Amino acid sequence: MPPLARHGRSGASAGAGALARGSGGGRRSRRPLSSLRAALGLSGLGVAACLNPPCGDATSSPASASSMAVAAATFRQPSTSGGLFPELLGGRCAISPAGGASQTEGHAHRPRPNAARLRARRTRFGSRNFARCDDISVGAATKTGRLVRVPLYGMTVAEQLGRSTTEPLLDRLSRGDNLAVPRHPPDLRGYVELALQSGFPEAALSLSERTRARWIESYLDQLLTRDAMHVAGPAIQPSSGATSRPTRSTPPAWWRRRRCSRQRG
Amino acid sequence: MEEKTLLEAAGLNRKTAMAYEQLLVNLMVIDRAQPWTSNRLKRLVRSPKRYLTDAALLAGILRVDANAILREGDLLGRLLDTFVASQLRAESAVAECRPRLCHLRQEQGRHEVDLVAEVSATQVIAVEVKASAAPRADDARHLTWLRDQLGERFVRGVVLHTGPRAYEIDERILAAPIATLWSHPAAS
Repeated sequence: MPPLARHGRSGASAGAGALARGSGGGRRSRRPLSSLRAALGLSGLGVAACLNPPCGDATSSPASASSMAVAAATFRQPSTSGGLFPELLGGRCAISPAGGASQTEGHAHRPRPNAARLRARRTRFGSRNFARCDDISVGAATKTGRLVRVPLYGMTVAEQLGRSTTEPLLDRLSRGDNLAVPRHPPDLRGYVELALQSGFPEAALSLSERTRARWIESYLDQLLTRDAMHVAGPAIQPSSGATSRPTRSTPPAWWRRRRCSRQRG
Repeated sequence: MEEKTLLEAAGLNRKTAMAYEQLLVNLMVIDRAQPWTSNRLKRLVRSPKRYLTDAALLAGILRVDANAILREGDLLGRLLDTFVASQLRAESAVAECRPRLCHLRQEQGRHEVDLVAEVSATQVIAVEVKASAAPRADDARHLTWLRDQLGERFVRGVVLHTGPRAYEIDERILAAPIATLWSHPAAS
């Protein structure tokens, strides 16, 4: 598998979730859901990233495709002096407690956590004995009331900027708050470039504009050939091992028709 | 876009198109915003609105860059709509008000609101996305219509635009830069 494609599978929004589980014990006190969000990097803008396992093994199976788009966490058992902390278990993925960064087994997305953060993460999230995301159904019965599922999506701009304290806009609007306007908001081109930056951690944080475009094309290529087969089964087969996506010289038919009609009009 | 128009443009029959669409949903390439309905409003379209989960996928599929998008007004509008929807979708997963993101469209597009966030059983926030830098009252006409139809149930409407200022367009209807999505409260 080419490296870019491998990273693509570990990128954002297109895939799986991370699974979290309590491990019992600990010296902390019980915490509310907001603390769970904070610990998962979900405070404020919440979702740090949508994480995919780096390899298309179990999580590419059709049965688990929809249920993977969640993160779940259970709390540690309360103890005398301490409390509960969510612990990521599965998907070989961990969400940085600082928000914005994510790490998969074998390689980390930038910004790379420093040693202290990494140690803290290992402490908080335990060992790397990750479980598969679809294992949630096995242990979930005993975790009723202690398990929280959170849908994961691509990184937001706030997360990419490291603003983990930004409150969701809809919360601010529902309370009737005045909206804070940034001092230097982007112009139209700036917004377009932000949109094209994507919410995939690898593409958004590590790659140049030119490399990012290639990364996304490669990601789509993998998705629509190999992964589509895994999800849809044998009904969809790639044509002679080559990409089924249109090449640069042959854009999609509907796009060609639209452009032609515009040129005529 | 009406579902029929979409199928005709793709050159697929309905059954095949639905199978492909479900496949793309399972692959997390597209996300459906369900239609928002209310017994106060008539002739609402009941089919979902499809969004790419990430706006950058649009550029990857069409193989266009920022310059090409800026030249195509229609494509620019769709890119910004997709971009804002992806930001709001990620936010709404953890928002305190637990919103449900939907879209609203009347038959033949007489009224259309990009996103309607149902923040409780009785409250609604409406969001429009515009590529212009200073939207006026006319740009908020669908929000005004929705506010008049829903009355107190309509909490707030916001026109997210690409300009630098936030201001009130009408009663309970604001214009604000898209960047307010990630602006820190302390920045005000």
